[in-house]
Amino acid sequence: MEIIDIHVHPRQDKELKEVENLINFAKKLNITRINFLGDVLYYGYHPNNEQIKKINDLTIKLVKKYPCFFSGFCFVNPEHDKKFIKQEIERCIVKGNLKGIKLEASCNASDKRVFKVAEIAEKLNVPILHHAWDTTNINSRWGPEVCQSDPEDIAILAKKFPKVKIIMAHLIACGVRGILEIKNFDNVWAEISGGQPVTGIMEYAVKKMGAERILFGSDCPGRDFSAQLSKVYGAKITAREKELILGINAKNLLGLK
Amino acid sequence: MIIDININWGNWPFGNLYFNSFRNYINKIKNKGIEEGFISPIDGIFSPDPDILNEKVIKKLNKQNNFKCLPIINPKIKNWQEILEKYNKEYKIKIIKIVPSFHRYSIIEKDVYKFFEKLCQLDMSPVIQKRFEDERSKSPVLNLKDIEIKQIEKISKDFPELKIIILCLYWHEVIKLSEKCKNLYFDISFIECLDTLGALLKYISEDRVIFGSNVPFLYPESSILKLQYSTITKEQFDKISFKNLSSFLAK
Repeated sequence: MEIIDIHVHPRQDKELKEVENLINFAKKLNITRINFLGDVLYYGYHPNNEQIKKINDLTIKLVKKYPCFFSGFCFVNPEHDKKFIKQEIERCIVKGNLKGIKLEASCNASDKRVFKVAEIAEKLNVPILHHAWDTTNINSRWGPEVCQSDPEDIAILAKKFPKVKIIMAHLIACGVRGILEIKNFDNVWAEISGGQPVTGIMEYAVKKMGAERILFGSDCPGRDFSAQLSKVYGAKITAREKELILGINAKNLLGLK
Repeated sequence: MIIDININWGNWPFGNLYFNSFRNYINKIKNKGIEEGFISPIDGIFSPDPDILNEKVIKKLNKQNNFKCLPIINPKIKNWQEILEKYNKEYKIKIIKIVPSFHRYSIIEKDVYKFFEKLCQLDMSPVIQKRFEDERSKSPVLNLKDIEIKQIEKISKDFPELKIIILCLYWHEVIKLSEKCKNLYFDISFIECLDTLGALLKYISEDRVIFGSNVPFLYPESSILKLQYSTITKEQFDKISFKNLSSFLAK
């Protein structure tokens, strides 16, 4: 069975040896591929152009070194001008080896500045993985520093760009509310990282939106592959549904052979 | 062999928890590889007198040798001393769980100090439940006051002879407490980072780490896989999975 972890962050300041440890540890748990999203918070929530380039340089370098084990997404900050974003996406995806776009918490997903990134994603036919969280309890939806996106913001983006494949990050943290927000959008996938391996949410997600649009993601190295995998292994869903979530869906979405 | 210090059973009004029928529940836990464990009644955290719910679990576990009740006591209600003595004498129970956030008291209150003093007298130990779920995802109606880390530090310092188990601490909380408070023991349910236990044992002795799953709030596979796949020795594995808790209870 293939296991593809679509949500892992390489550490910007660590030696290559750390990456080899990560590979070894992932392989121990039968993970067959890791998708790097960049060390997106290394320079804070609002990285500048040069910082963005450094983050993507590392992802490109790691994917180039281990092409059979790593794939990666190009990280951009929608606050930057469209010309730079377009250039960076072209450098990383069109001319480079990355497969999608990662957006974090510098802009809300329903912000018009995110739309210009979605336009580029639509033209290139590449997926966007967007950070999301149910902020009902954490009260940081519109902080001066962090700009969280709730599942309903992802839904706004998905509705405006029905041809863009959007991956809503952190399904467990988006919870029941998040599942209900995105379930009717065929262009939205949900990635299961975010918090502890809480029972019940995976089962609810499979019941409401089907297993075909759910992807395994761990958010390592802040998390442990083992604990995050337990969300799938422990869930009361069928073996076929587990296979889809663990690898098949990601393989199809990323166009992997 | 695995002994689980952190099993809960009962109704949780804020979500659809894992297995519910008691017999199935125990069997499913056993099937996951947890051979022994301590079960607390979830309903006990909402009841003014948790004794009724504890008795229910004790009765259900009557024919189970491997699973025992970890009763909940509220030291702020009138009959706590009577109940504590009953558990100690009648049921030979050595550990008692407290849930200060849900029962709405601070562990450094005068009345609660009397409870800790009594535990010392009876040679019993408290198990303090720091949380059941990630605060960021809990129901908005659960407006609970968190147990402050500095209060746990104070209890540890004021009762050095008391061995205390703390459940569901995050990584950073364990690191903060473990250095200063040598009489504290920690379950692994909420601790997480890459290679969780391999990383943790760089900071804390394996003698103070205990297997806990926090089932049914979390999938039991989480703690089981952390234990099985962390870079630890067989000796460390055995201590965390059952030896530490066995020694703790045999004191």
